[in-house]
Amino acid sequence: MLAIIFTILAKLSLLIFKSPPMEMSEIEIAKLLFNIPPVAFRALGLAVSIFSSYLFALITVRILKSKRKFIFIASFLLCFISPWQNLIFTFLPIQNLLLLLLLLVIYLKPKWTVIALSSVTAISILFFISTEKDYIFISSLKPSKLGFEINERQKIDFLAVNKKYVLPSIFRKITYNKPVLAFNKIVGHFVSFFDFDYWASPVDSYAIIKLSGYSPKGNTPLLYFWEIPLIFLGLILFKNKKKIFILSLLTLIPFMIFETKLFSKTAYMISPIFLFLEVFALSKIDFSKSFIKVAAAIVILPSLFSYYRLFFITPEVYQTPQGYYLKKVSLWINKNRDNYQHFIVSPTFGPIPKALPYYLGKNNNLNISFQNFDLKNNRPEPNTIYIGLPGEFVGRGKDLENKEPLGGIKLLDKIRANEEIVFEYGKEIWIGK
Amino acid sequence: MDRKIVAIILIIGALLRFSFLAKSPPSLNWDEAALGYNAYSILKTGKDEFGTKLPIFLRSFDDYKPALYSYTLIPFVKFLGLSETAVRIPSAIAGIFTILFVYLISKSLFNSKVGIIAGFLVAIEPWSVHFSRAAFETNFALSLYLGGIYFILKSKFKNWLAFLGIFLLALSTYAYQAEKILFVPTLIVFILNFKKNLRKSHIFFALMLLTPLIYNHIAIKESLSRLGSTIYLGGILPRFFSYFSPINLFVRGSPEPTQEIFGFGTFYLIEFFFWIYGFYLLVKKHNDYKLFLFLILVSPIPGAITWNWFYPARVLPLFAFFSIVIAYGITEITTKLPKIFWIMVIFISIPSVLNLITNLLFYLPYQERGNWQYGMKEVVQEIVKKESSYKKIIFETKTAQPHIFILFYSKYDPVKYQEETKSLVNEKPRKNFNFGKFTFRDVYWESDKYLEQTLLLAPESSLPKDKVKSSSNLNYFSEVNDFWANPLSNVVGLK
Repeated sequence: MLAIIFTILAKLSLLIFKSPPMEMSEIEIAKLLFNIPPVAFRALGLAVSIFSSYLFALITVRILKSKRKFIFIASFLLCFISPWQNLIFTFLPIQNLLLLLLLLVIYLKPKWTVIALSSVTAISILFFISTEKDYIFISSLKPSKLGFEINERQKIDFLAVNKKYVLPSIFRKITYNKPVLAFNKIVGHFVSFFDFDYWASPVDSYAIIKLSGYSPKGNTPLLYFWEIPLIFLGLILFKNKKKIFILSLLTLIPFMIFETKLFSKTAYMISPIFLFLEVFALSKIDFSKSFIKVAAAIVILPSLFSYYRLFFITPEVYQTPQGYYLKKVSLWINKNRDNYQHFIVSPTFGPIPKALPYYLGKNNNLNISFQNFDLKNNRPEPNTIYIGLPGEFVGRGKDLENKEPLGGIKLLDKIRANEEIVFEYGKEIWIGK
Repeated sequence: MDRKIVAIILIIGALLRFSFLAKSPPSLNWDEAALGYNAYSILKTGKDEFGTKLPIFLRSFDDYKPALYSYTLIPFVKFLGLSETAVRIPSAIAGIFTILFVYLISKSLFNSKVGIIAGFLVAIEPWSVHFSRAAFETNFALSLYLGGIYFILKSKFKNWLAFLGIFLLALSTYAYQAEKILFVPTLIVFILNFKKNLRKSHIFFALMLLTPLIYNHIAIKESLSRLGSTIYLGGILPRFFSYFSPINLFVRGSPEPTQEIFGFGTFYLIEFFFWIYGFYLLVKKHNDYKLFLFLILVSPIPGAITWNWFYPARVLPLFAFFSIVIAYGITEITTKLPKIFWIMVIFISIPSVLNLITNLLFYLPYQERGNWQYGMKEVVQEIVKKESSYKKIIFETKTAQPHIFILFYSKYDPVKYQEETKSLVNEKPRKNFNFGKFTFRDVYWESDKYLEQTLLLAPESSLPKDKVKSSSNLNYFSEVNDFWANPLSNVVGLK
């Protein structure tokens, strides 16, 4: 129990002092909740996560029935420290709530498990359709799209022989046909779920996971590497495999509908099943032996440290600077609101018109214009604060951070990040008058 | 009956490996050219390109390649000349032996049916076909490694076959770097399983075979530089799991473009389900298949301890074992599923195999040629035509290690080359690739047009046709194009 209390306090401290910048999707939801401040918003997410972990532990104890104390503590801890759960409570509030709802129903009414899972799956799909409609995988299975792909492939065969020869029609029909192509796409998409590199080391293994269409940013580990063998061990040892398969397939329906790059958002419901299998596998290991405890500590503790350092201390590794810029610019404006009459803020670095009202809260009454500016070619207005990327002050190019702004602008502050958000527009936000 | 089926499988494997060998992959890459030229040099002079007599390593591009593959090339270079086919034939032959050894190993570990299916799978699987069609030392090492596994398995250290097995295992360490790391864990696996029959003579024999290798590594410290720059011990376990990740094996393959056939994972997609089932059964019956499971667990080590993610060339033995797992899964599930299921599997598999063939014959040579240093042959053939008329040849190319293609395709006299590069023997690493009358640098027409008796080779951007043709110093002009009439280089001769 001490371990549980310690982890909760540790996470709360990280949340208060080192919480990663909010993403725009979180800000939209926080605005709906009466503009709840960022720390409170994340604390709410943490509270939901604690309650979910508690419910998960109770459910697991009820299913497994043996070693109750060990199962409860292991379940709670595994769920609470889980990278995927951490991602969900930090950046995915809707999924966080849906997961809580699902666990609550399963705990209160175990016989409704399949119905609850199906309902949450349906709600998730509707939610994703509204927010991620550009990334629907099954639209690539339309006959017209399959036909286009087949034609393009056959074109290459024709070009390869310098347009001198076309393969016999019967051969082409057998080799390139829509039913087989559709089957391969569907099966390939399903197999894409089993991506150990993306599960455990998406940052380090980006050289290979990018082949699956993942963006360079936005990828955090979903599992510790040692969870992978535990999951499969649990699956091999667990007797009621049929039920696990059916439930797993249900949870993966959103993943199958949408593109692989939305993996961490769409496949979130499999996380409790993974955790359950891990707890089951752990329950079969004899932890009374010292060397097993020592080995477990040697494997687990460094991976915990490594993950939490990545997630809380160095979020710039997996986040774009956008959320950071939105927060810092908003806070700067709020702090200096009484010193200046007019602000011109460029929306080039992010949706600042939507983020600023959230950070300013009720004190929203400011003379702010959201517009692009180009001080290389236009004269600045007097008594106006300009906030934007260096390229908007000096013209686009390389190494802009060392240049002086044009138009007689004096720089008041710089907000630094470690990468460009717009190509050749610099790695900072400049604030000048 | 088994023998007839195996013979048919070997014929299928041979057809997929030997057909159009010179055309696909579309050209020799620099490693292939280096292996070929060093074989030619050893054939003519008994020394490699740097003048080292009967080397165990080829210094080559300061990567100190194991030399065994080059030695196997010698008879082919002698009878077929220095050509793409000659360079690739040993790998293709090794691929055939791989099929045979996979069959024999599977038959030993399981039964004849698993053996036949495993052999057939290896004959047609993307990883095996691809690595057999280019001069990959790793593929050659694989056949030796599997041969070693088979004979030790067969003998259980009880008879002379054990020595043959140890010999082949040790020989594989002279063929590719990964097997140097794999040798000891593999031997340990066998020792643990058959320790009752183990004799001191077995250990002594193994040590004796490895002694020249170890001695040379100590004597030539630079030979370990490749290991030093490749090995990375941080994050070993995640990289280890990468080699078991289904998406890498069955969907996306490797980020290394020359280590896969485009559009395919390492295996066919449909094999995923049998792989899962095969593994499930093996783990369930782990007491019966301990040895095999241990071999699977040690096989990814050479890949896991290096910094690349999912690098197939370093773990080919693992893929061979996976083929056996898949075959086992197929065999065990055959009786449990209705015939209609198998008809569907065949219906889906035939287009995949045909797709592999069209990818090999058309897609790879055309669309992927940029990954294979394509075009160097055509350019060098043009150089060879005109070389004797000029005192100096300046070659601008973005291709790294351009000198090796000149050496290979012009069949440059190794005696002459060894003489010209004597001073480079102590320059480690090699920074200057110029030799004889060849200089590799960018061409600057405005200053270079005043050179005399010089042949310039460069793209249109550096040797613009309009400007060049109006020069009074021009002696010769031609454009080298590829099969699809894409420009490769302009060739300008100056008086």
